[in-house]
Amino acid sequence: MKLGRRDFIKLSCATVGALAVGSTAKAQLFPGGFPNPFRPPPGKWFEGDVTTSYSYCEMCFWKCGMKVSVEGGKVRKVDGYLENPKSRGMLCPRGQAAPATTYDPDRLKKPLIRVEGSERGAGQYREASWDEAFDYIAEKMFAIRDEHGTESVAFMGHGTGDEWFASYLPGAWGTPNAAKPSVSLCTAPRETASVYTFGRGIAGHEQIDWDETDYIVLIGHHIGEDTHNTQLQQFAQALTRGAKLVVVDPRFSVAAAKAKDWLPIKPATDTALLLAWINVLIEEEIYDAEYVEKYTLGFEQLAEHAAQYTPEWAEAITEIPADTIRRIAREMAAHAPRAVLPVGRHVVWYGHDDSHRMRALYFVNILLGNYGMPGGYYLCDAPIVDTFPAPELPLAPAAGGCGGGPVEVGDSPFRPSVDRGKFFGTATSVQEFIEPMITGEPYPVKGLFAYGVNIFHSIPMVERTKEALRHLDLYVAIDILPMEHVMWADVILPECTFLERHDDLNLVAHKTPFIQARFPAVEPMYDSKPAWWIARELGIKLGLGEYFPWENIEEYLDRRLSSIGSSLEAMAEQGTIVRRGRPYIADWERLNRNPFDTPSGQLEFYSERFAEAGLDPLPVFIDPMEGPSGYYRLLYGRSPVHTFARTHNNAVLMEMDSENSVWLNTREAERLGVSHREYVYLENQDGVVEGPVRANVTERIRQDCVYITHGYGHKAPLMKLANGRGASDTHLQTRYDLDPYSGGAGLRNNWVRIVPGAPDPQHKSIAQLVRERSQA
Amino acid sequence: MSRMAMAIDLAACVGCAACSVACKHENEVPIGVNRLWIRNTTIGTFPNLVTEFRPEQCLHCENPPCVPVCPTGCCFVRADGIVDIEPMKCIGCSACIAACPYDARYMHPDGYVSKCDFCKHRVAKGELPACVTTCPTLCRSFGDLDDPNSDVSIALRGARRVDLLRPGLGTGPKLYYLNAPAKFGLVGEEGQRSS
Amino acid sequence: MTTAPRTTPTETDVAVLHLLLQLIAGTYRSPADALRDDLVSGALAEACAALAEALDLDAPGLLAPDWTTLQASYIDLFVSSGNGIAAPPYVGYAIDGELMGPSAQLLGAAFSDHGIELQDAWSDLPDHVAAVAEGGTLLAHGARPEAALALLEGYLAPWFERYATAIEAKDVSGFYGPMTKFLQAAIKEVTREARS
Repeated sequence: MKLGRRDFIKLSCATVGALAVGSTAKAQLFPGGFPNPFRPPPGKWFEGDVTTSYSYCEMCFWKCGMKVSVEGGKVRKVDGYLENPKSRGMLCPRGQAAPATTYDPDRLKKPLIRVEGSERGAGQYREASWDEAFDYIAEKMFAIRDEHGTESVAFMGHGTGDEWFASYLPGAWGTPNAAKPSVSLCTAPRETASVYTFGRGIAGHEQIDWDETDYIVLIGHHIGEDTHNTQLQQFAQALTRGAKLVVVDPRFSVAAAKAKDWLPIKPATDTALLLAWINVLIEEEIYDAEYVEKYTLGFEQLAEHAAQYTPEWAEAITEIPADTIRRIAREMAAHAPRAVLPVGRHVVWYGHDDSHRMRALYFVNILLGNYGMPGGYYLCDAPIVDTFPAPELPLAPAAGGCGGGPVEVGDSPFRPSVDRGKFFGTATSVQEFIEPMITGEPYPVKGLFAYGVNIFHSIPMVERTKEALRHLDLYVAIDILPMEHVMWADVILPECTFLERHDDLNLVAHKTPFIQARFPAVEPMYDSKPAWWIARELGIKLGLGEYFPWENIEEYLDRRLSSIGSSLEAMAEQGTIVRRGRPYIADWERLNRNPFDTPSGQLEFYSERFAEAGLDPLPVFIDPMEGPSGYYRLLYGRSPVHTFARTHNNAVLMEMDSENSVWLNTREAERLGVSHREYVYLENQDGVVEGPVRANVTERIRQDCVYITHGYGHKAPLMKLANGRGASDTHLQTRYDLDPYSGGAGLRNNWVRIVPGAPDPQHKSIAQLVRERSQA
Repeated sequence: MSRMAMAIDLAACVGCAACSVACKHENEVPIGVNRLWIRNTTIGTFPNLVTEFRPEQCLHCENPPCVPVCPTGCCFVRADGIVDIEPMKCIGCSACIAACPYDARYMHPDGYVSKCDFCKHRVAKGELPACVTTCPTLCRSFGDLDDPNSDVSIALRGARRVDLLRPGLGTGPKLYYLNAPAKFGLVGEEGQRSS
Repeated sequence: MTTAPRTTPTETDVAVLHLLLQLIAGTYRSPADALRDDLVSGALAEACAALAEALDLDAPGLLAPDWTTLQASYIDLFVSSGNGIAAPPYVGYAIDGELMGPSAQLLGAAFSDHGIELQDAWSDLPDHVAAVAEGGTLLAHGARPEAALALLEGYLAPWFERYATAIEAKDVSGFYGPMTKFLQAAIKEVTREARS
């Protein structure tokens, strides 16, 4: 070996800046060399020095309070804690798997800018500093503003950080085009129906008084597959306590497996069943007459209207025997007011029908006298914590919560949102932003921020969305994983996972309202940053610094907490502050207050406001859309271990449920010659094909529909575990029907046929993929 | 002496696998193997159906077939009835894996056999196993069978029906299934006593 | 496997080792001005030539890559790309099969015991190959050349083979492929000589 007599050559690029000689060299533990890293010392994390901190979960949006255990600089375990009213010491599978998302090697690592001249979707990127990325975004936003106005930048957000990206920053920038898929692709009909019936929205976690109820009727409500933690706990406890359960579902769901009665209803006819129950309760005079007399408006109109909806009429539509309809109605009445028909969460099913169905559902509950009564729906409001003092935003914060409050442009110089006028309600409809990107009508949308929203796995008509993205001048994606839609963006900003960050306080409307806080358990990995930081730094670049007058999140949170006599330090010690609620009407009457914020101050059966707008003042049944012959209605739902399309690269969860399958009734399978576990394709009414996907040949579903769990079928090569497994329901949703009341997009108006004989894709096991990924 | 045992109420369990995921992290169980899994089975014809969600794991048998076959003595029954493994003594011969009729054991990639140990490190601190703590349906009870006031003893007394997994083997499982949804007991098993 | 070197390295050995580790660090760091400067000024080519001469190897035929292409290739190979990242640059991850696993933690502890600390400004994982190699240069140039050699032998070298295979198969820049091939040969040579 020879290197002449030269001294050390110094190469400037070799100064990476990762490591440096410190001042505190310890005594040498490894004299003469390095320890052999191939045989790490044994030892269990729980035998080490374990520290814990408080957070609330972000694996779904139920947001359960959790305690995070860290050892050796790594998150090892998360748990619920008893003092938190949502987790109550327990977590669901997704929450338990949170560390596997933080340590997912496929995470986004650095800010990236799409290579100049490359196609959107081609996935060619260069690394950028945060500063450069913000400069790039700001320049494009200013150009859009100058040519089209601030309203031509749209924001979509989902997750705790969406407060910054779907509310605060759009409000500061000045665009009413800010929306969450959790509204118009999820809850919008139930919220509009609730506001126009009760004068109150439905709280984020569905305010059912499970602990007091004796009789439960679930309508397409997939508790157990939908593992919303507290709800599942209270549901299970109610059953253990002896509450009776009836499940209405075209599919023998997990909940149906726990029911005394399963009513396998014909899809899209639920409203007919509900109207028949209204009919029976009134005709047989078994409704709560005292409650109805005291608290409601328009009962006479309802009684007259419902007379036509006899159980025999409903039997012909729903395929549920009239006798069964009568029997269940009588049982409900016998248990009233401790009988309840809980409202579900994802209720955008059939579009035109959705708000009618939700109102009819509420009406049955009102007739049972359970709204604001023990064992029915309790009343709740979020605790109040002051905002950080800052100048008033040019536009009111935009997208709002699940209820989706409107952005009222009022006298401001801003144009109303692009979806205004398409429907009656006040939510902002995320799917209605897409068309204006292509057509420029009513005005162009040229910029888009997608924060935590998987726009290819939530918004129907995926090809249209891709077409719209091609028309944009700026598309920014903020996410933690390289989802397919993320790899279309001009600028990709990597967010850190919730275990690595602070977030804003979570103010929860609950039977006992509470405030919970999130603290980082570990430092962010890579060059990822929290949403609050990204929004603030970008805001400053956009000249909106005055709206972000805090230096950091600690100052922001401490100031907010001081308004309730607490502090960030105190919250670090307790995690949750629980308040007293006013769950029942009696709690309000004691204070001489009326909880029903309707114009009449009463629960409104008959809606003058709908009538004035030319809409039906009372719920009606509208014949469902029908599909082509030989096709099945495509129903979808949840895997208990997955959230939307977000968790399908989590190694632990994917191992539990690594691909979806299409549920097909045994007799239909025989007719088609499809065997159990065989791979098939799904082809929808517009020729879109998904799969290969396994057939789950089962007795657990009707013959006129098929079912898959949502969130699979990722087309994202960077997500090594998720990519190409199963079928995507969203990609098969090439049609939707707009609910004229709420702006919700009814997604269950798509039909598929089963194409047998798909090749076995020979999926590798998750364990094998995990091994290969680390040794690429 | 004590006899640590677990009971799972099948009327409450929805098969969500929170237990399995909690176990995975708590015990650093490698991807590819599991200490705890769920078996979902449906019987009947539309619309008269029964679906059973049954979590399975080591049953901590009173007569464990895995223990006597171990050549090194690394498989043993603790004084509290937990069937345990000493990984440092394990030579990875797999005899116990073959002997277990319930497939509860697996080979750890580091070359030793592993399985559910009722989270003995948590039990030592007076805590419940991770699967019991996290279960959102509260379907699991744990404790000492010899203590009539333990959670598991109370759950067993209150059950409409108690079943064991393959009781004919004489293994004496200390994992009890309560309130099986099918009239005849566990699905896919010969029925057993009802209480 | 023992990671302790058989013999005490000579001054020349140390200079070679230091140069090799510098080249590894410089090659796999994210491509910024320093790398561009070293490419343009010829410093990188000169360093490669010196190392090649010392080890009786052929110096890599470095194309003068278009800078944008090089940057995009870097993202493609090591960070995120539309078609899947080709070669994860995290050494401990490759050994453990998990991020921040025992090997990565052991590495951090060992650096710390040698007085070498992770910088706050470093925004990637501590077991990124560029960081590991930079740590090696600090050991080699400081008082711990034997530790630097052990790091190369025990930690970097066994992993580098498969890393190199992935890069050489996927590179389109004309930079990462040839550099990797050269570094692979140099690592083999240095570790072979250290054993002899």
